[in-house]
Amino acid sequence: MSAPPVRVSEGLPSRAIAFAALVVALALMAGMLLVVVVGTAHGFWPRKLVAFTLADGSELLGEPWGEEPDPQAPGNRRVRLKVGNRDLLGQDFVFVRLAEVVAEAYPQDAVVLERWEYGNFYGFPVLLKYDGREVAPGDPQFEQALTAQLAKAYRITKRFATLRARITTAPSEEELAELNTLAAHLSSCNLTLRTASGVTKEITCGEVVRLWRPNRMGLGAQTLEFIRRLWQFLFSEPREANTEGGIFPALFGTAFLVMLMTVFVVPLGVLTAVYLREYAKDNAFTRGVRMAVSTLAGVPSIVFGAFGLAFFVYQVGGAVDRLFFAANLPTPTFGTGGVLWASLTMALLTLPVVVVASEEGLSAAPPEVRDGARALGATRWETLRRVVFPYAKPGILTGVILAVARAAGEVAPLMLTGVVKLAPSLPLDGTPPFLHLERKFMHLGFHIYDVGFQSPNIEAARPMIFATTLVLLLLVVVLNLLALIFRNKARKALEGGVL
Amino acid sequence: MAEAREKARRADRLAAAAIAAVASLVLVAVFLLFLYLVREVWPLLRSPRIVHGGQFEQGKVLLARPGELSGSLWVLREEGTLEISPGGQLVGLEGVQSPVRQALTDRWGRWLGVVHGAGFSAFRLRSQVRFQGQDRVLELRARTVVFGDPGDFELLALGGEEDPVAVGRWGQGLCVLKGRSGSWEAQSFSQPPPRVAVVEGRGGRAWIAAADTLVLWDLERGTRLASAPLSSSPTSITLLLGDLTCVLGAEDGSVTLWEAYPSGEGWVLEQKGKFTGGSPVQALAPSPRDKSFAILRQGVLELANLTSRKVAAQVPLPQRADRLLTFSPRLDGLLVGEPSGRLHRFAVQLGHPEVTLGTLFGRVRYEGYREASWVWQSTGGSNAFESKYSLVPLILGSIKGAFYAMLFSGPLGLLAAIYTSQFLSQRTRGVVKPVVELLAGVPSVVVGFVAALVLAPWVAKHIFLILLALVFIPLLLVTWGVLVERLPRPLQLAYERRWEALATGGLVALAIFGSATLGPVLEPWLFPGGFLSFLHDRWGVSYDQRNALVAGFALGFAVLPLIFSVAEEALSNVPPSLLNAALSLGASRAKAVATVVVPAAAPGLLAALLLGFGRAVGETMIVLMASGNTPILSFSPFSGMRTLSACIAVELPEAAYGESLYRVLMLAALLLFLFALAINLLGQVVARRLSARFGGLR
Repeated sequence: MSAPPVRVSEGLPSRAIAFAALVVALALMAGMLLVVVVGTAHGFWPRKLVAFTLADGSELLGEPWGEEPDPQAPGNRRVRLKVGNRDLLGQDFVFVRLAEVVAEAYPQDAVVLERWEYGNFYGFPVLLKYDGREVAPGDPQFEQALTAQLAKAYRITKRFATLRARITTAPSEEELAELNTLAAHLSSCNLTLRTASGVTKEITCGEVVRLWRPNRMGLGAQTLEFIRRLWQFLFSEPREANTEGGIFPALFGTAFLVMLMTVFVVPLGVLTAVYLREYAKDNAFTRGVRMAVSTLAGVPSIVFGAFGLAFFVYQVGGAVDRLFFAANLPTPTFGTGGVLWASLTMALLTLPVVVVASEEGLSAAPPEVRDGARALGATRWETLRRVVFPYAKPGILTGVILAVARAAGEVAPLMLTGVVKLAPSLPLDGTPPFLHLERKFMHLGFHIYDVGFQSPNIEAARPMIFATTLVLLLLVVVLNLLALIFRNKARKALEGGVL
Repeated sequence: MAEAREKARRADRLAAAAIAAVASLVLVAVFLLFLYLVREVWPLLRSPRIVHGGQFEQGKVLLARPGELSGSLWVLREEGTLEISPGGQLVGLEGVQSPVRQALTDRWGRWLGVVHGAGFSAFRLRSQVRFQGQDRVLELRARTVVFGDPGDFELLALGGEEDPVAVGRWGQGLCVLKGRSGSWEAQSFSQPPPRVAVVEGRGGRAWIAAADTLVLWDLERGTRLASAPLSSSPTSITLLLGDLTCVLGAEDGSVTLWEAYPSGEGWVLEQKGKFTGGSPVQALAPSPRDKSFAILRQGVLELANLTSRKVAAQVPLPQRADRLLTFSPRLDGLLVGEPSGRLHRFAVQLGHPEVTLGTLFGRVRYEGYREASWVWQSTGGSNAFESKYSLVPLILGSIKGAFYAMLFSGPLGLLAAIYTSQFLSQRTRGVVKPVVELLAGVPSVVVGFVAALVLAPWVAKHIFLILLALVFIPLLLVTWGVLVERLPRPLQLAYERRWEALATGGLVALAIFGSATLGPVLEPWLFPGGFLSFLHDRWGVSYDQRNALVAGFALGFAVLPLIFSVAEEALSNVPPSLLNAALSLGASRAKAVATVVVPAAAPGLLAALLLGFGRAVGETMIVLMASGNTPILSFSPFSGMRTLSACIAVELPEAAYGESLYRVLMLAALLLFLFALAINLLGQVVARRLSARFGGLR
């Protein structure tokens, strides 16, 4: 007699669904990273300048920013062309319907001018005037003169801006004289350009940040330009309502906030963890502290912001104002949002992370080592300081890194306690008392929200938003990876039992 | 040596005390958090108060009005002069000859109309607070705008902007006097004789109440716009700030609220509220700053509010005080007068009369609305805007967002956790877990940005494809799984061991590819004109680009790592003996997991879902960016929403400290805090209960 066939259901359909769920979850993260990277690359990679001649005779010059189906002529496509020249045309982008294009060219002498105001200028150089001389593009010295003059004007403009920022109320004779000389230098150099449609414009050399000819660039030059743009993005100041320039103040503000927050949260968090791990007895107080930590962990971040506003800004800040800055009232000094209150709020928010990680770190010290120290007559405090703490360092560091990563990305509480779209000055600068804790600051996360949703020209700012997002994402990912590595090291030390 | 040890012991005690103190700071911080939120919300509960501030004799006065300077007022004497008090400064009224028979101001004290021996004069009043040395004094100027002799009439109301308009009773009919170029143009109409009237600030319309009818009168064209019958004889009338709501006091003590709505070609008057009272209404005064008003009855002065439809405060006063009811311009006082000339002053602490439990959570009929509804619209163009502080759209918005987030990430997270903890090799699990933890660290700003600026437009264009893919993927996977199960066991096991990953991944890709190719073909066939226009035309469902679906997806994405981690932890902590017992009895791995491991880990799984839900409700940035942030009440996944957290983030920086909006937003923050606490507690309770049921197997 043969055995009946065994039918075992492996549950393959449910397994498949479960596995697909995992794949989808992982793919989503990769997808998001990809979207941000592609968006940044797409935005920052230098494009060639294309000159379109349309059926009605008009000429357009600009950077092509994407093709899409033409909604007005189904079956055809249209190109979004960045024509710049905001001061002449009023808008940055136009749609060019490919059906209307008669001719398409990539003129070699077309230039892009990155300007301090009004965004990019696309056109053709006609004449360069400097120090009383005139040079035209046909002249062999033109290129050299142009590069030299623009570089000089750039330096002068920067010097002018620094000098003017330093002069406050009573400028000295020399400073005024220097300002005048610089202004004279700037006005002595002019560049005349012609747009694709034939309009001529004369601009002073001091208005130009950079000039380049995209159609003459090879792959190497394009890569260099790409890297140069990313560098500028990280280290220069924003312009044009945050839609151009760089994010340096936002990076600085985030770093400053995070460092100030660390000053508050590390002692508070580590000592709380020490109490919970080493000194706590099983009483109501300990239970209360534990519940407090877990409550703080569950509170939504915006509630911290509301508390920070009500308590730190209005209550404590108002009291500080009345006690020390009464002369300024009713203009608030500390009674309004600022980097001090924001960092205190963030310290409260990230406290649970530090406590949990520090507790884990403190557990890394093996009981044998502790007992050994106590057996030799060390007090609890001495054991803690000399024996346990070295074991706990990786765990504590993990906690700090995680707190920093959280603070770099958390925006909601900051919106209520002192972050701004554009800060006129940094919280740390050269004017005494050097540390200005009452100043408002800029923040990477808020920058993304602000430029992406509250800027006057979102389309022009798209590359900036993608790049800022990439910077924040990379920062947070790197920090979290570091924390992961430290935590693994700590866990291995725990298992190994030796330092 | 002993010294050193003694020092060390002292240091130890000091350290212990200091560390305990620092730990207590955490406890203090949480208490402070709760306390401060409550402290900022508490004033909402305080009811407005009127306190008698004293009475004083001014001699016989015809009119009295509080001035802009605190504690000042001006009175009109029978001789026809204005006297400012304190100070006693007299302001003469040009052309006024005794006897002064009648004097009236408009509601806000801008116009002064005097019927006197020589005729009827209208003055434009301008008051200023000036510095006289160290003191501040009230300065009053009265400029004659119109003077004429329109004959015998009873002045009822005054109004207008550049030119004054007066409404009165002439004989047994209505008369309207328009001031043009310094003189009066009189018009009389045969209407039921008016008892009381009030003119709108712009002088275009007037509300006139006769013995049994309320009429809305067009002053420019001289016609009746709308009328409504009255059940009791009117004794007093006024218009609230903004000139939309008319308040009518009657003989039977009732105070009714009226509003005019456009209907067809004309207008219709609707009574939209009623306050009852014991004694007949003697006077009404509108608040100059908000939608409150004062009701003067015999023996009692009441303060009522339009939005809450409640009498917020009451104070008794002498029966003789029956006239001259006015608010001070700064809304900090009320003036009531007696016929003898004695004036009573009342200090008013208004508080927040428009915020009550009824207006926060119930349906309110606001100005301009025909029906009571839940609306959040905190600010408008001017002070005359009726702020609408209903928390209901916000609460429902938070729940809606969290619901769609859980719809996406709940099953996904749990399933992924089940697969990771039960079916993945140890090595792969060691890679997957940290990767998902990294995902947890992604800031919500980044997720919100990608969702709003990249995903939302893409979803709007390809919504049909996405829905198709959501159907295809599970369908394909289940079909494939069922087919493979038909294979003989050795092949099944081989598949499990080597081909499963590849096959599943390939199938998902195939399903997506299939939707992408089939979509453009199916859509015009099933839904001619496009899926979205089909929804719009057939079912009236409109599609917003930034909607609950996209925001829910993004929220779910942010919450997914949390659910995954907690669920995975719970599943991994199930004792392997349980799983092995099931396997040894012949169950397949999947069956063992489904029937033994998952129920054993149920406390943790439920805790994961609860934590995820709690986190999704509290999330701010994603909703702010991806949901359109519109405070509408709708459960459609294709429309946006505004959550409590997003509302706080957007509106709190703009709210002035201490005003109603600030306190309501603090209330919203308190609600979020309590909700987070409740979810945490619930999670713990549920975990413990289920643990008792299933965890006893350990």
